Amino acid sequence: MNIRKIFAGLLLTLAVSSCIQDEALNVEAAIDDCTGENIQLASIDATHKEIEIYVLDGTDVSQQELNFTLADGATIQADETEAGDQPPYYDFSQRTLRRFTVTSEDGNTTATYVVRINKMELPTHYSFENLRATTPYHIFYLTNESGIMQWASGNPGYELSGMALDETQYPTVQDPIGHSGKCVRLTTRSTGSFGLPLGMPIACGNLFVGSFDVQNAVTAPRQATHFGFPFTKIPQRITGWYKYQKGETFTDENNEVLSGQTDIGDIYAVLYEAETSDYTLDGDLFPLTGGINPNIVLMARIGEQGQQEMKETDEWTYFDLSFEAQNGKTVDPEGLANGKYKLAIAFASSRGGGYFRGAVGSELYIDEVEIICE
Amino acid sequence: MKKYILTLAVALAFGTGIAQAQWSEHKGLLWSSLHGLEYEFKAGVNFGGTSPLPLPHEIRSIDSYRPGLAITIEGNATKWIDEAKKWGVSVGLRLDSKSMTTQATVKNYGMEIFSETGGKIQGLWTGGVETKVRMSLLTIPILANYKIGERWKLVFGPYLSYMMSGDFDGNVYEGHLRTPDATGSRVNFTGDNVATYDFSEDLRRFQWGLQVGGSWRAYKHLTVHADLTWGLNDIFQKDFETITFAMYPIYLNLGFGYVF
Repeated sequence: MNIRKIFAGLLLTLAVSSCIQDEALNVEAAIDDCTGENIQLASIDATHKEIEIYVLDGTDVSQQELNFTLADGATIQADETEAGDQPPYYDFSQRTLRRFTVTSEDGNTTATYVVRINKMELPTHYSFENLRATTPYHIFYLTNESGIMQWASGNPGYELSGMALDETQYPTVQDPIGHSGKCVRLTTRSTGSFGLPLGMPIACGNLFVGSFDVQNAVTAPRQATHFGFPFTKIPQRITGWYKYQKGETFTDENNEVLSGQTDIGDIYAVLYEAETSDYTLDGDLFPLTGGINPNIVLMARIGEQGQQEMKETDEWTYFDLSFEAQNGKTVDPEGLANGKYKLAIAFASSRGGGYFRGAVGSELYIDEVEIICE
Repeated sequence: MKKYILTLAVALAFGTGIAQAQWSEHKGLLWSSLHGLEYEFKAGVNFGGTSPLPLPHEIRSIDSYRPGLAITIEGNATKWIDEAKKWGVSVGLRLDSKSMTTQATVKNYGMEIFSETGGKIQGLWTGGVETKVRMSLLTIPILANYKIGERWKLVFGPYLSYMMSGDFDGNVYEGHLRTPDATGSRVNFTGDNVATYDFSEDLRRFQWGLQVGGSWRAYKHLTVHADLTWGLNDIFQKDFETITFAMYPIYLNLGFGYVF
């Protein structure tokens, strides 16, 4: 009798506790992606809530398409509307910098983003003197008289590992002592217990022209890396200064030691065909097996046949790499003038870093880089 | 685990020691009986879960539940107060183990993942969460006893537990993290992608709750029992805010006992 009562009581308890409540409305308020006609590059800084959008010079920005990917259920509103606004088409002809506020589905969370449309030509000289942001990690920028643009890096991905206790412990940081002024220091680092089960035990320091999509950093890290920006000149050489020290133990994507293999850094620039504005090369441009990406027209890469080798050195060493034709392609002058080519520039502390192969501790310093054109 | 086995062995030896001492000293038992004292040795298994109550909005569904093997051993003494020996008070010492593994689908669930450097990634998780809870506790139940007839006995009262060791860990899968807060970056996890978390260090040492149960005397010395223990304080420490809701251990203990 009593046992039965107790069981009845227990069942009642379980019944009460297993009641799933009504689903609450979503609290997330964020812009996760921004696409649209004519957009060559969109870099979203989620920490500082800034979105820099790049279009070609001559693009009409009075009807700029902006398709925002928002958190589930969230809504977006321009803080000050323009007469020409017809979402998703927004008028940036009066002001190139506008503010947009995202409100969560439950209405309790809001986030205001600065969205700026830039018409900019890619700079060709890089000194790594200035930082756009210093927390939580260093963000470098490129600049010339036409504007400024962030250098992308894998730092936002490394942040997920929780390994860095301050900005100097990220793979990509500014170093005070360069060949001239400051420089960039790239370090291959361990991602600890976060990265290992994901098949990403290391993160190589990298710096590149393009954008890094942290949303897909875990699921598809190479595809999350977008290389390149429109370029309207024919590059001939890439020159600059480097120092390199390799880490001790070379490991693969499973953190297995590959004895006999040693690490080496990477410096490269490629000009490639981009038929549409949203096309970019990704981290798979040099696959482990098979040929390089077929869209590549010109390539200058350290350590390739006929090019200078990278050596281990603690002295600043000059590099001068020439752009060589690839895939039997030539540059079409008309396409070049119309923005159908993009230039990717990248530096990495481990050449196999995109495939999570390298040695923790490998360090590449880079300074005073220049793209020399015809 | 080692610690647990050791404690168990000591308790067993102690229990057997008492038992043997008791066997050989009928006088002692007789004396105890005359003074309304009764001793019992119980063994059982805990079934149940560690759960927020009621389930908060963040939990959208419970997808799987597996109880762990959770054996308990208890020795207790009952002092019968009245002449008829209907009412009594008992104090016991129980080696408790409470464990379970669940998989749940959550929405905007507070999450913190620490790295070996002490750095962390935090945010709101929407997707699958696997939680493993294993706690080894030393519990003192202080219970009112009420006899209904010769065979049935009801107990009710508080218990105090000291957690000797405890794990609260698991992983998140198939979903996305919004980091560091509701306006931060979205990071997708699919397929084999998992991130592990461990809140073991944040578990509270002292736990208390209420116990209600009953036992049935099958033979002169043998009893079978069912006891529900219901935790009334959060298993996490006060300053732990990652999981925004309190969680309570609710377990049913089934087993048998030997009355001396």
